[in-house]
Amino acid sequence: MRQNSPPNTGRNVLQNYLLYLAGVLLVLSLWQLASILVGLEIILPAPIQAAKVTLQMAGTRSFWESVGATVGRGLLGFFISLAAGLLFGGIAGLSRAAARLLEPAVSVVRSTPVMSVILLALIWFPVGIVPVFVAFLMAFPVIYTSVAEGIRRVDTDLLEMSDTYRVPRGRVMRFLYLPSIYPYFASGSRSALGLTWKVVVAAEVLSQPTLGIGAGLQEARALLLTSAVFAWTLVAVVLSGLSDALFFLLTIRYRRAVSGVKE
Amino acid sequence: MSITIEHVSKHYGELPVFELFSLELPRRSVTAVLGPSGCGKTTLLRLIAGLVEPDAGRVSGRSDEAVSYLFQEPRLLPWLSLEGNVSYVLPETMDAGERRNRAGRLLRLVGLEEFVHYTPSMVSGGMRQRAAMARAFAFPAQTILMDEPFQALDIALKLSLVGLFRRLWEDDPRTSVFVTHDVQEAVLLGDQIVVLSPRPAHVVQTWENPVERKMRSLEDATLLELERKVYHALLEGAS
Repeated sequence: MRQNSPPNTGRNVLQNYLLYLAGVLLVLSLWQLASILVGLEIILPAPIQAAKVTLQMAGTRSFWESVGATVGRGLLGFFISLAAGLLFGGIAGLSRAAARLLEPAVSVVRSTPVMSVILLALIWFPVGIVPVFVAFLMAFPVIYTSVAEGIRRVDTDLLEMSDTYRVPRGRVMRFLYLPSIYPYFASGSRSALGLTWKVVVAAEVLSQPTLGIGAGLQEARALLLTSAVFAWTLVAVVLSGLSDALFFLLTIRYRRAVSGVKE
Repeated sequence: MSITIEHVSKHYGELPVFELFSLELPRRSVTAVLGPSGCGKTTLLRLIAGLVEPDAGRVSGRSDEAVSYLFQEPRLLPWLSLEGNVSYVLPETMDAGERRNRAGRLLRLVGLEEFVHYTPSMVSGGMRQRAAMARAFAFPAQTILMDEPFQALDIALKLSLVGLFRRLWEDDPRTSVFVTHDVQEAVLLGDQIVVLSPRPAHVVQTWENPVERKMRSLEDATLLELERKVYHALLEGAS
């Protein structure tokens, strides 16, 4: 966890912040430059144009309904993955036999291209369920692996110590297992959440529900509204960034408490 | 009642660690066990603790199921305070308040009263080992097993911890087995000193410490003489 970076003094924070801002400006300038060179809005609109369209869209009711629909599907898929990942990851972490039994299934899911999953889901399920199913299938292996790995990495010396002192099982669970698993679980869930937004949008593009960021993207592309394609993309990026920040804030307190490390 | 190990055999696969091994650990006294590396000293502790079962023979006389154990490393949970670490091992028969009180009292006895709320990473290595010692003595077992607990420390720290152990032990004497490579430590702490042979281990020689506990010091001529004999036996056993 960023152990090699210098301590976070006030000056360092400011410096990092400025560097980040400079990075954003760099991306925007490159984009602007490229759009001037291309010279065709239908191929590559300027950043300001994309921003304008985004703001226009944000003024409509259907925009927020679309965002809400995508968020709903994403969260549903994510929480199902979370529950299943905790359950099966927990079992696989505690029992080698169970891990071996589950490994082929998880491997298949892990290495199946997301497009295959989407296409199969389109054949099998009603449109509304497709993104949720795809999100689950993509996020589940990430959480499963992180939980199983976290359990396997529990310090055997500390387990032996607890064994020697005959520490009650519940206490070992709460004070040894949970804090050990937590960093793995948190970072796994965080990647899974990021992945969820990407695959939900992709699934929406192909399944074309009435409302959704992906549906908006597909419609904008069909109508050759390139600025709108950029606008929806921007929305997806912001959504992912916001959820990541929110996730981080929700977990930071516990992370500090269990690791004793200040971030 | 003393702890008796009778005709114990233990193999790890083809490897014989003990072959009809016997040893008596007198009640409420400290037995220091020395021997070449890999002769099975840790296995001996694990047999006494009941963490491994002998293939044959028996270990008897341990009055309660659990034992206190001082490991080579402090083995503290990094996310709990020192107090939390001590009360973590205390039995469920004590309520939370009792556990906290007992943890606090023992941490005070080892001189860590100002650090009870610190996590292990916030204190020095010597302090961590002292906290581990507080944990061992806070735990209400009649037996304390020690697996080279002072191994990784410098000489000054080691002597201060040896002194600390003696004070805690005088306060609350328990049947103790102390495995070490350090002859000095062995003669300072051991009421009985046992030298083991290489695998499969047997007892090469046993001495009663002729010097009263409170009188034992590094300069004591009788202890120095005992130290010399122990060294001799170790070298002889190894060859």
